[in-house]
Amino acid sequence: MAFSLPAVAIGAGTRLAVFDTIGSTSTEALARAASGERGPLWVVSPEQTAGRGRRGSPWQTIRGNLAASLLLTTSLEPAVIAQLGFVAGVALVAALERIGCGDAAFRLKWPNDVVTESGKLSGILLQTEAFHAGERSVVIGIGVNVVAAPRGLTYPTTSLRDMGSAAEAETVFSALSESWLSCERAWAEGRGFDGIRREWLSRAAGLGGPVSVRIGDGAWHGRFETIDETGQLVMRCDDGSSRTISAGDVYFGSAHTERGARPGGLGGQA
Amino acid sequence: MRERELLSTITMSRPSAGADQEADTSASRPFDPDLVRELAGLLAETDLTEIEVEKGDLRIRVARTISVVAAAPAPAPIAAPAALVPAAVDAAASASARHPDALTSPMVGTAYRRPSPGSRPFIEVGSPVKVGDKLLLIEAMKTFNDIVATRAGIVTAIYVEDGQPVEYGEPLVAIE
Repeated sequence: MAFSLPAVAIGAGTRLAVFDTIGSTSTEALARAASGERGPLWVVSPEQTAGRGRRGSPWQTIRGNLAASLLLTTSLEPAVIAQLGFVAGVALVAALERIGCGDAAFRLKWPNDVVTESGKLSGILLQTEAFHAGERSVVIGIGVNVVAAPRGLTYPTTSLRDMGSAAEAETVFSALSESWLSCERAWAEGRGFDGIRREWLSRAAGLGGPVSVRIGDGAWHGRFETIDETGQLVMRCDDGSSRTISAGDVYFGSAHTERGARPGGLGGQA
Repeated sequence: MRERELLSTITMSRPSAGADQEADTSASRPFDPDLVRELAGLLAETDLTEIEVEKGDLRIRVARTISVVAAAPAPAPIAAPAALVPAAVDAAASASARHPDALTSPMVGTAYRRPSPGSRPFIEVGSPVKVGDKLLLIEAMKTFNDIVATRAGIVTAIYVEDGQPVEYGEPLVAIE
């Protein structure tokens, strides 16, 4: 089986670049953007040797897993572009639900990790660069543990195989590239974000439960109330105040956050 | 360790001449930089927080507030007139009014001065930059946005620390 785009994606002008192995699909997509590529283009590989996560963390793509990065070019504002992380998260969960895996429930950990009750299954990281005046290149990098999950991390991980699914990376990509299109259309450059937000909230991990957030030297503990109309996490702090979070180390669960300690359950390879 | 940092403002008003009439009054200089400098010096010398003078139809108010901030090694202001010290920002809008030429944040998020925690900052005060050079990253909801130079020159001020939350419109970097 080979990676391929569904007819609906080809019809929409999407292209595909497949690598048997690669350093990083997102790095490749950004390099192509720097030399003038505008997309929409998927860069896909079943193996990465230099996958990247948040803030310099590595992202391991064991052979047979899925690394897929989508390159787009847009003149939208960065705050609107950031909504694409939620669009991607909802699209990936929709794809996984379509493939199915017994009665396993896929949940979204803010902003867009896909988790199950046994651990993290997928991570999504977006990068934007201003290569063209008035426009930004956007690369949406998606990693899915299909055949194996990296071990020895500070949080639990899982794979579709661990969960009893026989799905291959190619199947996941095909479903993802199709659900991406419908989610992107529903999002409508931000005009439909409320619908994406509702889809996201219906699958949110830890909603209503305890959450800890660390930003720089500050840490807050409270309850995860919702996400606001821009996608920021809204928490009710222990002192009763409300706080909105756009970035930071976020931990769900009852354990409080200390630097280096990653309370179990829903931490992140990010 | 903490240190005091000055947050200074100057306001000037010409009650009889609106902005749209400036061409008509171009014969008289809109303000006297030497006077401002002298007043700012006087302010520092006397430890006052505000001086207001009126000269003809021109009114100049020089004020400063003293705020206590964490003692990060703040970049020394280069060629800042008198006691005008770029300082930590409280309200993005007023701050951006104080730094009209600064590159501002296009979104709410967290600013990073380094590509990853162990690496060197993209720029320091004094770094020469050309159009398109990366200056900072702003993260929001796991989207990392490159902030690039929109003009060539020398970095004269960096208004954010690594990992600092920023508001929309908050000044980030000044390039001259």
